[in-house]
Amino acid sequence: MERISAWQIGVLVFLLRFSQAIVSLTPPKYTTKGPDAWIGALIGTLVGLGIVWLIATTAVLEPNRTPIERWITAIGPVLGRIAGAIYVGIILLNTMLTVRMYGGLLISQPMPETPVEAFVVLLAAGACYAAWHGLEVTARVGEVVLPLVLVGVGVVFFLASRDMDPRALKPMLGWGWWPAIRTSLTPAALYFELLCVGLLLSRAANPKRAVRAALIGAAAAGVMIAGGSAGIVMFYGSEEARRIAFPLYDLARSVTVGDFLERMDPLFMLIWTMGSFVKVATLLWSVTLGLTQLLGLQERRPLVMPITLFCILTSLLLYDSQAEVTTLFSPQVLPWVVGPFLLGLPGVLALAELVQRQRQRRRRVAP
Amino acid sequence: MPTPGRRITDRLTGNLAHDTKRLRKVLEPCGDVAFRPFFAPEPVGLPAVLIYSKHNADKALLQREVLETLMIRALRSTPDAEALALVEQGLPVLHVESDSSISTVTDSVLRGNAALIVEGSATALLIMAKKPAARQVAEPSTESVVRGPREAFVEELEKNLNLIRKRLPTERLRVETTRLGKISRSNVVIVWLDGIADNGIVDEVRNRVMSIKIDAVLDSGYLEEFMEDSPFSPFPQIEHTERTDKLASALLEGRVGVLVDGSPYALMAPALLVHFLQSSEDYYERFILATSVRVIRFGALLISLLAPSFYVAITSIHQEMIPIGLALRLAGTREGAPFPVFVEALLMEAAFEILREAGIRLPAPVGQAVSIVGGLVVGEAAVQAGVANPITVVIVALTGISSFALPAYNLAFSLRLLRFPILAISAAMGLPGLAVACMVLLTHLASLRSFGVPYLSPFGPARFGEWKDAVLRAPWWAMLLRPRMARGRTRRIGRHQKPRPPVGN
Amino acid sequence: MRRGLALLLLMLTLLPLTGCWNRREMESLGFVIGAAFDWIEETAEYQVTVQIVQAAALSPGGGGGGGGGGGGGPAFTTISSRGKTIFDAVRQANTRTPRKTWWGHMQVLLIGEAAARRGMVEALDWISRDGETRRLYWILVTRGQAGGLLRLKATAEKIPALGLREMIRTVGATSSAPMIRVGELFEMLQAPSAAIVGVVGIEPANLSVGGTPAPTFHVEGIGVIKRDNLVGYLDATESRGVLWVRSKVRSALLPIECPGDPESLVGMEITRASADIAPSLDRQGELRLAVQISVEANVGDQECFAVISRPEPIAVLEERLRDHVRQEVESALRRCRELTADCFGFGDRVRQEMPRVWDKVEKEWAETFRTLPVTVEIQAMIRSTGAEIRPLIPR
Repeated sequence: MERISAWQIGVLVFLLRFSQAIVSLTPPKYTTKGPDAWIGALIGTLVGLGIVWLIATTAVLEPNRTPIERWITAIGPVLGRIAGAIYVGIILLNTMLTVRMYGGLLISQPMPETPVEAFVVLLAAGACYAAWHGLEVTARVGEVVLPLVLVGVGVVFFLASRDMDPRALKPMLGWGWWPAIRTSLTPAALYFELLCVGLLLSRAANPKRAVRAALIGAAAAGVMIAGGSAGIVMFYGSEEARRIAFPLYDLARSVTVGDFLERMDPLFMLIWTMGSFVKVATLLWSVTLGLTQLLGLQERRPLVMPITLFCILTSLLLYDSQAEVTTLFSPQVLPWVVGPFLLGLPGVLALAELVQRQRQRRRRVAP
Repeated sequence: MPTPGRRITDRLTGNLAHDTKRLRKVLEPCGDVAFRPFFAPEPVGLPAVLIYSKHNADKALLQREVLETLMIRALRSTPDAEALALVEQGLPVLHVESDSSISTVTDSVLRGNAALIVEGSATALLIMAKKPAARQVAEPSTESVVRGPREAFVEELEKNLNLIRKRLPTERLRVETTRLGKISRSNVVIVWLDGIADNGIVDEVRNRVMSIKIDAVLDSGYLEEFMEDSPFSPFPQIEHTERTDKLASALLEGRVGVLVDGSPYALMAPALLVHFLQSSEDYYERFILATSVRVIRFGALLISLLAPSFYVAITSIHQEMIPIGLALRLAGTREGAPFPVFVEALLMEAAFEILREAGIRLPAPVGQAVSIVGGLVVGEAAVQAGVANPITVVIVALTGISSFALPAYNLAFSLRLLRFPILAISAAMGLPGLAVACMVLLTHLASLRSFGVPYLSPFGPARFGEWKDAVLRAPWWAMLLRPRMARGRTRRIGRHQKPRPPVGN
Repeated sequence: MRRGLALLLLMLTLLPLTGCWNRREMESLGFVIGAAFDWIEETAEYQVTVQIVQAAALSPGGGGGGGGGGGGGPAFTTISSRGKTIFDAVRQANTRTPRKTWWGHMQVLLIGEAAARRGMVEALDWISRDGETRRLYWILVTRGQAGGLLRLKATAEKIPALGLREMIRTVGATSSAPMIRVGELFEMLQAPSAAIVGVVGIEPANLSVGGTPAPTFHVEGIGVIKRDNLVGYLDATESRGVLWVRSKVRSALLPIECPGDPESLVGMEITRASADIAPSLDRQGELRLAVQISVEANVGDQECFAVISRPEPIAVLEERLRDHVRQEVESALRRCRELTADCFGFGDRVRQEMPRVWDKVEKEWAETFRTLPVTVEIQAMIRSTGAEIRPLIPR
């Protein structure tokens, strides 16, 4: 069975959470009081870390088995499969969203005449190749890509820092903690993207260290997104920052240093594609692995192509307009949709296993 | 393997006339084998036959040391020895072997040695008198360096082993010989450093070499294709070199070498992507220079793979990414252009590939003329005629030059090949297409292994300690450990050797 | 499995065949370098005037037949069209040029007075939504119609709009108009205070091109945009007054009285200027503002014969420099109070520093601004008297 190191888990978790979020940067958008967006993002990260901790620690209670397998043994083949199907379904939904978001950005500005289908197919087909090769290969790709993504984002923010005005972050908590906490709902709920960490951890060579790596990766991503939110607010001012759909893209286009260092769009395209690619590949791998176990199949690979095709089709049917995604991600909707599953799935699983174990012990003691 | 029944007939009998007849039957039709019957008078009086290859044997040696000794001078040896032992002890020739199989005798004679059979002995004496036509050791022609050793392998295996042994005179250097090729029966040698190379890798190399069934091995390239992990990948997974120092340094890193008689190129395995971007000179020049040269090579790799695609994507889809001055200039020069940029770039790239191939195959002076006429005149004329945009020509030329900057020709070639599909997808999908194509390529690279070692290491999987000798080249006193693909990260360089000025001055 | 992989690769290679949706060759684009938006009251229509580069006339050698040398044909064409909305008018323009207008390299946008008074948001919506342009192009308003300006070759540059772009950058020499990129305008439009934009006009027959007098562009003054609409203009001095407070003075030349010789002047060259606005509440709980401006200057030129490179005359000069700057700021303040438009960014600072107070005054901020007590404190420092220590004929 393929095994990946703790470092690789950390890298994948970081990229899962960071690569698209740094581009859409939700915190400034869903806040009523712009200057506090980054504080909201930080609080969201703290909450998210709690969720990741829950997912990860329950996942390594039984190191080499995936949550799907454990559901089936814990609460029986039928109920277990239903729970597993919800689990896989959320990851599948995430995959679809990710693929669609990739195309959504590209058709919104740089290439409006190209149909979104083309980009969806492009990314999904590419990522499918990586998912076919498996987690180990995807993790390696992630390792190579990580420094490039970080350097790319760093360069854009560094060049933009000249035009950033720290005063835009004022007043800090001018309206108290409440707006910041309200803002934190979306970033926290977005940690549903890390539900698949349960599956990743079942392939970790060293589960104990992998949990730590996953937490560090998630924390790093959260902190950097908070930093990015602050940067965006400083660059655009708190009001303008709320208006921009894809801040990092806009930032890359708006950077100008000495009328020479400008037009960073290619750099951005690279970041955007690389991050999305690794993310979709990891998610596709998780979905196919989960589905293999749900269906009780031996081989994972034959599922990769059909699932990819399914993702392509459904992601196109997923929504008609970008406006729906904006609504979905708003703090009024997303947390309440994903929250129960996010907390419930790992929690209930751990409980069910505990109950089962106790019952077994009692049975063993009884005779 | 001969069957048991045939093995009996394969033996010499000890009856000189009978054995000679049988050997004549096999060797006479070759046309270049001579049979020299003679009589050795002292001390016992032996009829004998000397069999040798007319063109490949050292006739002076046979004449002076074998015939003269046996026929004129008396053999000096222990009195009651058996006939052949008598001869063997008495002959003043350094390297002799004895064998009683007709097929071995035949093989040995055809390789240029001489066989001596005497009456009453069922064993032939093989006198190693081969004197094959061979090149002198010369400078490497394809891997030249400014600074560093100038010894290259030649076509003769023994000389090559001599060169390796000269560099690594240690008992740890293991040389394992085997024969491959039903017809050529070439000697194939696996070399490694015991205790440094990983045993698993050595076994894997041995297994892959041993399992090759082929009629002839004319060059080490034959073996390469049998030994790769992923035969359909465009990327080379085994490195080859004609530099003796490069092979020695590979052995010191725990890699395994394979040499074939008749080929001046040694194979080295496992080979990673970074190995193809390194030149042996990197280790002889100071590290700052070496590192910057490596960075340049890495840039050249990216340019030779991506420059035309990037150019086409930018000019035909993302015009807003071009600085305004350049954009206006481009638009101006493209006024009335007959082809889209994509077609233009494709045509020029194809033309350039043809030019390059033409230049390589032609003799050097003509080759130069071709590249000058082709490069300058055709490019200029194409621009003048309005078929191509000058900036396209610049990009294509840059791409070509960059691919020459890569030290490994085989890697450069695979990049040349991959350029075209990437060009096509960039023309259709712009930069996202380009980026996804790169990611697919990266995924492919990440999925490759060379003899079990991930092809992209030390980057994927990340082995930070080995980054010291990947794109960077740390100073020698800082590269303390061997790469992990050797048997663990063993110590190579002593600690605390960073030089400093004398204290107290 | 292998077959699945092959299918996938096939899919990737098929992508190029399906078509090149966004492909457009460089030569087929009508590069819009400058544009002007006007509101035509009589027909209730927008008029869009675009300046399109003829790239072939710019390239040195190529271009097939026609123009030939660099100075040959005109390097630009200008075209106007009308429509119910801006976008409508742009589409109309596309039917009047052989090349589709392409806005990716827009450099300068002029908004006519009528359009600006009608509403900036309405005028700018399409161009910011469309996404072809970056937020880096410069924006200016005009007095009266803007379209006419683009039709004049009022600069020695081959393409007037590019010339205008360079002139916006050089306006920092006098700081008599702000240099505003559109992105910055968007930010200001959403901020509590009023927005400011530079003003461009024409000086007739000032430029001489090959002996014939030609008009030239002149960038000076501020157009004040209150919420969405242009409400008035500031002259050069008032504009600088605003820019002092907004920390946007790059350089300027201020003529002040010579020490000891009221008839003649000393030109002070501003090298550095910055400002800080501090809102506070006084004892009665009333909002008040303290503006602190610090200015560094060199002596640029001198008409009188006094030796000024000594501490005492320098102190006098600094005093007069302070007064001069204060007068400019106060004149600007007076004018802005007339317009009830907070051009200085006072509101932004109040919101940043005292969010709770701001929540109370936000509704009637324009009225509050009219009567807001503002104290201006100025620090002036003369760093250097140039390469000369004393005048040619010292007295």
